Amino acid sequence: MFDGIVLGQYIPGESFLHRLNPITKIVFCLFFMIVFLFIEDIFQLLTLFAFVIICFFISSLPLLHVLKGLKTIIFFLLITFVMHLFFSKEGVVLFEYSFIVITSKGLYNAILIFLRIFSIIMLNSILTLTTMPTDIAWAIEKLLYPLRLFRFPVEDFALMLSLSLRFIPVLFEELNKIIDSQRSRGAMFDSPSFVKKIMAFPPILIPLFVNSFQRAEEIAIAMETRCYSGSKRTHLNIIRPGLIDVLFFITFVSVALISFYLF
Amino acid sequence: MIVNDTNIKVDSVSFTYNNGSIFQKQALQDISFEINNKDILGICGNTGSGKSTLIRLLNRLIKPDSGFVKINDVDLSEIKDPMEIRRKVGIIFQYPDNQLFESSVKKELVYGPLNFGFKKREALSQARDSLNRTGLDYHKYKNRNPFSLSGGEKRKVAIASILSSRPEVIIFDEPTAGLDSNSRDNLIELIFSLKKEGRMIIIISHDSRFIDKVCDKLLVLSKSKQVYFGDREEFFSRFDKSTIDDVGIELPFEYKVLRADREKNSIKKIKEFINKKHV
Repeated sequence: MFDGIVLGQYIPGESFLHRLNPITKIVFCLFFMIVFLFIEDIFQLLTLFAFVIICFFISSLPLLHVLKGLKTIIFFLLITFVMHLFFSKEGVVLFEYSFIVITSKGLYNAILIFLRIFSIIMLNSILTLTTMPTDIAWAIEKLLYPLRLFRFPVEDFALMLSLSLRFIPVLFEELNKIIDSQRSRGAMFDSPSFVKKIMAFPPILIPLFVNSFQRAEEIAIAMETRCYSGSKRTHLNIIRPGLIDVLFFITFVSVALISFYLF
Repeated sequence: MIVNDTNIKVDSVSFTYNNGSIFQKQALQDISFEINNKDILGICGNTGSGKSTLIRLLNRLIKPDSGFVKINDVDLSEIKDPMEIRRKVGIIFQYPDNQLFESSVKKELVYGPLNFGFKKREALSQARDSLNRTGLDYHKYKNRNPFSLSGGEKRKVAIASILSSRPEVIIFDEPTAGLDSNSRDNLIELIFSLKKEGRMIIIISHDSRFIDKVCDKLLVLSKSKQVYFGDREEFFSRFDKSTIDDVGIELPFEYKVLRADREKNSIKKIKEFINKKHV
């Protein structure tokens, strides 16, 4: 039932992006996300979008698999596209039939919003699909280090984050098992009736929550029995930034600057 | 209730998870066997050999990529309403925690029967009978919260919650895991009484002693392929020992003795033969 979801999945590979330091990738994502949110010019957006697509192909991720996993999000994006297309009344009228009016501003906004959100989603997909969840947690821990000055428990936060990321696939697996066991007792999750659909949730959610809390308690006990203390943790593998990180950093800043100055 | 003849035919069934994606994984390759309710079938194999996938196919929780599964000569893929199949085939999964969700044992037990369209009174009487059969007193347990029960009690409630739907085929997934020896003996008794009623029993287990005690036929899977299907005794007494070790089954003690005896006798015979030649 939830087999196609790409959330929290890491696809192993040897590409340039796989080898990048996770800190570089997170900074790159954050930087571009902010830029994408503020850009109002479609040509600037297209330049950056092209850069994201190039990054995607460099990462040698399977395009069809990723798009399949994002199909629900793409569906909602298309709804947003259509809403902008038909409900913006500003600009020159391009097409008119009965109550349907498409204006130049409507089309412009529709493409802008679609590209903006799609690029952000693709960026995040590249990050999560080319980086192991534990590496993402490690990178966030490093990025949050300055907050220790304000007594923020960075290590504990990073551990919570890495455990959460680590358990996403486990929870999906468990969810599928729960769904199977309830379906074999006659539960109908694909019933066309809305009431039946709502009624089908408790048999899934209750065992899932109970199991998750049990597991959380077991992990906490297992960690305590091994004398866990957040602040004294060290890492087995230390990832240091290399020349490729510097090169990549220079490239993406340059692309952003070029797109601003050209258009 | 006595169930009439039931048979299951699995013919050249293959199944791959996430077919067509980069995460695709072949779970079953060309599996074929036929069984009726006169025999109890045991399914053995290493972890990841495809046992759980096979039982999911029997309940049509998934459909085979190729081949067919027939119950009483009806191809499951031709049945439009999967509820019809699930009413006939009940699976008792390994972890009862994955199914318990109601606030009382009674509600948990009637969840299946009510979904399958039994009337409330009928569902309640079946729930009472089923729980009593597992060895838990219905009146003592009916209002208890399933989450407050011990592991063994939860398993019994899970078994009863399937039995209460009166399925013709009952599949047990690792039924002895976490059971003490008394509960194990009770379970064996229950399985035999279900067989006597004419219900078809299929058991997935790593416990070779349990399999040896209960099953008549054996299906052995390894790396998604069928290694053996046939008589249980034949497998334990004659099948190649290294293959038995490879599929993660420990030979029951009696068969170890039997094989050792046979080996001793053959060595004795060889020695006699050599001696005769020398003489």
